[in-house]
Amino acid sequence: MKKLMLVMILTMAVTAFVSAEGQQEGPAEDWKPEKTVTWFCTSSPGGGSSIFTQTIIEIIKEEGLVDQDIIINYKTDGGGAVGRRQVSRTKSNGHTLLTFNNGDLQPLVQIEGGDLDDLTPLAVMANDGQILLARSDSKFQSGEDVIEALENGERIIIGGSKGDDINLYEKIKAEVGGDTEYLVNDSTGNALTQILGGDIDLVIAKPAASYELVSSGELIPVIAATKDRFDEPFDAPTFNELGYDIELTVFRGIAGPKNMPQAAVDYWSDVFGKVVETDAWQEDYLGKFLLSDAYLPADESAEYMQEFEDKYTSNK
Amino acid sequence: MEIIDLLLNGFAIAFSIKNFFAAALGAFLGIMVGAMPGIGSLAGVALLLPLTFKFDPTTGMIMLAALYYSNMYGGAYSSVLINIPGDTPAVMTGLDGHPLAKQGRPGTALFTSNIASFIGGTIGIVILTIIGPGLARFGLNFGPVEMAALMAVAMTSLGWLLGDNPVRGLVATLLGILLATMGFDAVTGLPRYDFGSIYLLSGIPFIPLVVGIFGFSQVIEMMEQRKKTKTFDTKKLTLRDSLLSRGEVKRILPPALRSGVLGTFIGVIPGAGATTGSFLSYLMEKRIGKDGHKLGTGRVEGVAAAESGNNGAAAGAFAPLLALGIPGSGTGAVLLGGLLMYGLNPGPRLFQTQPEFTWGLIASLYVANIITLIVALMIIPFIIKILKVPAEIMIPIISTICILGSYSANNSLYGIVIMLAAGVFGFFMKKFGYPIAPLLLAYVLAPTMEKNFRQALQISDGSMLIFLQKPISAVLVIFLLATVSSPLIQRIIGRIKNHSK
Amino acid sequence: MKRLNSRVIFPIITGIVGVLWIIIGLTNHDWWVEGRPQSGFFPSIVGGLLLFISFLAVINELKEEKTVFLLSHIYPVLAAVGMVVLAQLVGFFPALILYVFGWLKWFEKYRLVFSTLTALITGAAMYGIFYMWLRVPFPEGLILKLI
Repeated sequence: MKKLMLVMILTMAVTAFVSAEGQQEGPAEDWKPEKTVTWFCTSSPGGGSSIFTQTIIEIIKEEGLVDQDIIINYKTDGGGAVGRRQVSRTKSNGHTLLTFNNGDLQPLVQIEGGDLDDLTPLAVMANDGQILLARSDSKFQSGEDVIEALENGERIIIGGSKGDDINLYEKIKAEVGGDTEYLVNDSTGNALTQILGGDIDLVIAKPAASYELVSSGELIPVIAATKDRFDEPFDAPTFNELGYDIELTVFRGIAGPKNMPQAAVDYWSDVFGKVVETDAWQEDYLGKFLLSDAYLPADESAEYMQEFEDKYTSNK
Repeated sequence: MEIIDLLLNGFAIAFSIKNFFAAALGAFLGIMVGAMPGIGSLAGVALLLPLTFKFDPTTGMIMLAALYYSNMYGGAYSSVLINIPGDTPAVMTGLDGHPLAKQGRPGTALFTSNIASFIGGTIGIVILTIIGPGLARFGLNFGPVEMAALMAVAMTSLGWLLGDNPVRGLVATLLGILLATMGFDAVTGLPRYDFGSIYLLSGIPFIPLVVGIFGFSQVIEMMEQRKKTKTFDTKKLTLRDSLLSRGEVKRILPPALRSGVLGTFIGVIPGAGATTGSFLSYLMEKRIGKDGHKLGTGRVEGVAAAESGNNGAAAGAFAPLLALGIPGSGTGAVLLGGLLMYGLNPGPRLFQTQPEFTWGLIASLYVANIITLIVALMIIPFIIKILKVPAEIMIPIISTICILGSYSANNSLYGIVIMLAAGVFGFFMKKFGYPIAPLLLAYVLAPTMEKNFRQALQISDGSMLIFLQKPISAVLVIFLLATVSSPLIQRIIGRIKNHSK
Repeated sequence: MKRLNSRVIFPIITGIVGVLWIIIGLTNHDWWVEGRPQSGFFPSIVGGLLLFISFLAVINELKEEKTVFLLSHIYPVLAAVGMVVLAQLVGFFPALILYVFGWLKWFEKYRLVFSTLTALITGAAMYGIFYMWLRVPFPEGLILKLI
C-alpha cells in the first residue's frame, strides 16, 4: 500500500512538473483520470454484466487504484445499441469505459453494422462458459442420454437466455441435429423457472446464475460446452468427450471509445491488470462463479476480440 | 414451533434503536426515490443499495427491506398529488387517488394508500412466513401456457377500465399494444418495427413514456387553470382532515385484505410482477366490490385495492427469490445482489442451511414494514401542502421534474424527446376523451402475453389444445370465455325479457 | 354537413398507424410458420383491429362537440424544448434555473426576488437529488466543455 502511495505521489509530482513545463504530451505512463469516469453498461442492473462491472469498480475502490470516482451509466436502449453508439462517438480523453462481452460484439457486428474499429478494446478479464442442465428427476441423467435422444429425433425443448445461448443452441442443432425447439428468455433466471416448472427439458446456463440450484441437486449438469470440464458441482462431460466439436467461449471484457489516447489505454490496461491479481477478483468473483482467468492486456485483447469479430462476420 | 422460535429470535435481533433509525432513514429515502418520476423502484434500490453496506448485516438488511417497501409506498405520492405515477403499479393508485386529491382530500388518499400498502405487505409476509418455500413451487406452475392464459384474462379485463366511451377506450388499448411491439421481438430476438432507427431498436422507453403521457400532458393542461386562484378547497389540507373516518376504514378493509392475498399470489408467479398485482386487484374490486362501478371517480376502495395488491405482490416476490434464488423482477435482481453481499445463499436449501439468517430476514421485513408505515404517515401532512402551490408556479417546476426524470431513466436526451412527444400526445388524448391508463397497461401486459402465447405454441408444436390440457390454464380459459360471453348473454336475456313485456 | 371537427384527426391517425403495422407485419416479417405465429402475426392482427375500431371512432367523433384549444397550450412545450436546447449550451442545471426564473419573471410576472428564489431553490433541490445523490451523469454543456 505504501509503495503504491509513493508511486502515486511520484506520478503526481511528475505530472505537475510536466504540465508546468507546458508540454501537452508526457510519457505514456503519466496519464491519469482528472475527472469522474463514466462506465457504460448496456445490460440492466442485476445481470451478469452488471455484477461484473460492479465487482471491478468495488475492487478498484478498495485497492485505491484510481483516484477519481467511477459512475456506472446503465444504457440499455436499443438492446444496448444506443450505449455502444454513444461510447464509440465520445470524443475520447480516457474518461469513458464500456463493459463489452460476446453478447455485445455479436449484435454490434451482425445487427448494428459496426465493428471493433468503433471501439478500443482495453482488456479481456475472464472467460465464462456455458453448460446444459436438466432436472434431476428427468429422463436425462447424463450427457449420453441427451445425445442419444437428439440423434433419435426425440422432441426436446431447450431454453436459455439471448445472445450467446442462442449461438450454442444453433451450434447443437447444426452439429447434433434432432427435433428441438428453443425458448428464448430475457435472462437465464427466467429460463431456470421454466425448467423447474417442467415446461422445458434442458436449459442452457452459466454457472453464476444456476449455482444454488445445481449445488442443491435440483438441477444436474449434463453437457458442458467448454474445452475442459467444469469443477464440482458442474462436473459433466464436454461435447468434445461425447464426440461433437462444440466449444464456445464467452469472454467478458472492457472497451473504450475509438481513438482513445495511447497513454489512457496503457493506464486502464494497467489498472485492470492489477484488478485481476487481487484475491477479491480471484476468489470472490472467478472462483465463486467458476469463470476462468483469461486476462489479456489491451493490445492482446484487441487481437482476441478481432478473432471473434471475424467469426461473426463470416456467419452473418 | 421451531419456525416461530426462529422468527421471534429474528425479532429480538431486529428491534433495536439503531435498527429503527437505519430503517427509518431507508424508508424516508425510499419514499423520496419512489415518488420521483423516472427513478423507478429498480433504479431506486440499485442506487441506495451501497448505503446499506455501511452498516452491519442485520441493520443493513432491515434498511434494505425498508427501502424496498418504501419504494412501493412512494410511487403513490406523486401519483395521487400531481398525477405522475412514480412507478407503474402507481398508475392504478392514481385512477382513484388523483380524483380524491382533486376533491380536496389528498391526505385521505395518501392515508388510504399507505395503510393499504401496509396491510398488503403484511399479508404478503404472513403468507410467506407460513408457506414460503411451498409458495415458490406454486409459482413454478405458471409456465408459458399458464402465463399466456393469465395475461389473456388480464387483457380482456382491461375492458372494465374503458370508461363511458368503449370505442375510444379500445383505440387507446390497441394503440398501447402496437407501441409495445416496437423493438426486439422477445421470441426471435430480432428487431421489428424499429423503422431503421437504432433508438427504436428496444422500443419506446417506458419511463419517459409514462412521465410524459401523465406528467407533461398535465402541465400542458394546467395552462387552463393558471389564473384561477384556487382549483379546489385547500382549507382541508390539515392532518385532522386527512385521517380516515370510521366508515372509511370499514370501506377499505375488505378490498385491502382481498387484494393483499391476490397480490401475494401474483407476486409469486415469475414474470407477473407488481403491476399485474395492483392491476388485477383493482379490477377484482371493480367487479366484486360493493360499489365497484363507482371506482375511478375517487373512491378509497380503489386506492386501497391497488396499493394492497401492489405491496402484496412485492412481498410475494420474495418467495421465489429466497427459495429458488430466482428474482421475479429487475428490482428483485438488485435486491438479490444485496443479499448475496450479506452472505445469504438463496436457493432450495436456504431454509435448511441458513435458518437464522432467513428468518431474521423475514423478521426484518415485518419490522421494516411497520417503520415504513410510520415514516410514510408522518410525511403526509407536509407533502400535501404541495397542492397549495398555485398552478402557474407548478408548471415550470413539474416540467423540470419531467425533464430530469425522463433523462435519468436512461441517461439520454432521447428520453426527453420521447417524454415531450408523449406529453403532447397524452394532452390530445385527454382533450379528446381517450383514457390513458388502458394504453399504458396494454403496453405493459401485451408483450408478456404475446411472448408466452408464442412460447406455448412452441412447446405444444403448434397445437392450441395445450391451453385446455393444462389444468391451471384450462380454468383460466373457461373463466375467460365466461366473462367475455357474459355481457352478450345478459344482453340476450335482457332482449328476451323486453320482448316478453 | 357540419364543419369537420378536430376530434376526427385522432382516430384517423390511429387508423393510419394500424395500416402501417399491417403492411410492415405482412411485408417485413413472417406471419405463421409451422403452426407458430411469428414476429408479424400479433402486430398485424392488432393493427387490423385498430384500423376497424378507428373507423368506428371516426364515425363516433363526427357527432361530438368541437374541442377548444388555447394558444397557450403550446407554451410549456416550447419552453421545455427551449430549456433542453439551452442545456446543451450552458449545462443542465443552469438551464433549469434560467428556465424556472424566466417563466416566473417574464411569463407569470412574479417579482424579481420571488422568481429568483424559487428558481434557485428548485435548481438546488434538483441538483441535490438527481446529481449529487442519485448520481445521474448530466451533460455539462458546450460552454463548460470549452473551458
